[in-house]
Amino acid sequence: MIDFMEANLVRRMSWAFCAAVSCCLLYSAYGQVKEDGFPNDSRPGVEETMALLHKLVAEELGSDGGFLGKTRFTIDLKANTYMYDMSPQPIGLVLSNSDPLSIPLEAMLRTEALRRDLQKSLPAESFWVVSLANVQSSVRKCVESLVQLKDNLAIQANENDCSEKIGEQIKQLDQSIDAFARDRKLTSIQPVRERSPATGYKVRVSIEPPRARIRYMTLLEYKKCIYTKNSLANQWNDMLEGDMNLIGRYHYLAEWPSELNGPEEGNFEIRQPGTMTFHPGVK
Amino acid sequence: MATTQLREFGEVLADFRQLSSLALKGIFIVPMVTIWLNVAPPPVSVTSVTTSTLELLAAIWVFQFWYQTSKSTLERRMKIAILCFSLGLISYLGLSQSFVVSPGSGQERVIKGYQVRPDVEPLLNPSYKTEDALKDNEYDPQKVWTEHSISTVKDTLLLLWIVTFISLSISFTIFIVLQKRRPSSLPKSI
Repeated sequence: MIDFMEANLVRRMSWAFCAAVSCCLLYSAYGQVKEDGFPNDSRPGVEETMALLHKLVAEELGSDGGFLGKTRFTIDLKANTYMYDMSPQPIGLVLSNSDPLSIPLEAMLRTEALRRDLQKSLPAESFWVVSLANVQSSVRKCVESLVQLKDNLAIQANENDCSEKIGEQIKQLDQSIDAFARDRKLTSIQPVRERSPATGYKVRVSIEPPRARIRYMTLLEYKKCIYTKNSLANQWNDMLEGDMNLIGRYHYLAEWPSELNGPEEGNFEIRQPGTMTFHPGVK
Repeated sequence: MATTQLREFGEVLADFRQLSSLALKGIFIVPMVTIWLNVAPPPVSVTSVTTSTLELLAAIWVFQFWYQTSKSTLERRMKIAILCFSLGLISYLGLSQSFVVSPGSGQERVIKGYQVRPDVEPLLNPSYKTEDALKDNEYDPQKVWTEHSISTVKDTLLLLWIVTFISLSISFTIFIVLQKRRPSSLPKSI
């Protein structure tokens, strides 16, 4: 009797397992179709895709100067140093990992950030223009090939090819920047790491009244910008209300409306966890 | 390990009555205790576990390869090990005073470098020192000193720490081996 019940239970569990696996497979397939987002005959063309990617890049560079739009090139003629960083970002931060366009988009984010920095740092030089255009051209070719392909397997194979070709062009760009630095006898400095080794203290930030945009940067970064007369624009990070991990001394800019005394700048120091409230006129 | 050495080593580890056996086990545990004391070179937990393992290996080494060595040679090696321990400890404490900074309570200590980055150097003056620059950059040493100089200091501190504890383990294990060789004054049980 017990054996029969057990056998019945096992059979039912097997059926339930098969049904669950089938559901998962169907859901996954449906998810892929949804993720793709385009019926086979209504996929956007190359120009539309490029326009979409350019729009995404412009949005990301405009809004995220600290991570996706981080500084890729700086030059300090007084100290005779330069910083160049074309290290890739993780793909899938803007589009999903499975989206074939995430590879060209990541390359576009890097090249556009570099172009922005080179235009600012070396506007009179032309050595980088061709190399950068070659990278952009390889990105465009990649997008063209990906847009035209409809078979998923072919797209996957093409993704690797795309990465390799873009990587080759970026290598040539690296070489042209190295040659420029050698020619000018510039010393390379390491790009700063994104994450501080000190985890920092949890600080609850509040802005009262919440009508100001508060931006901040480390005090050393501020001092460096002032000394080198570089623009502060790319160094600011937005401070949002809520919990943040901070440690050490910072410089801030609070943009209060004119009726609340207008913009205000200053320094603050974090030595322990706590609460920090920004008020107009008084911190 | 030969049977005699293995037995002797096992006996020392299993003995919880003899002071010397307890002390040897204590030496293996000391680096782990430094996790709470936060005195080992950062990253503290990795350093402490590695040091304990190397200490155990050093003790095994002494039992395996030096067990049959003559008394005079062992005594000479013990003196060298004690000297290495003393010098290593003094050097480590001196270096860590100069190159290790604590950002505050509950924060991992950071190791400084000795060569300031060229983009930070012009900002420094008698009233604005490297420590201030470190504080003004979220205690990230890589934004103040060159990577090469930080790595050199980090490696030196780690090497000194490990050498110090291995020397301690070696000197104590030799001491136990020499003590075990002494003829017992107690009558053997029948």
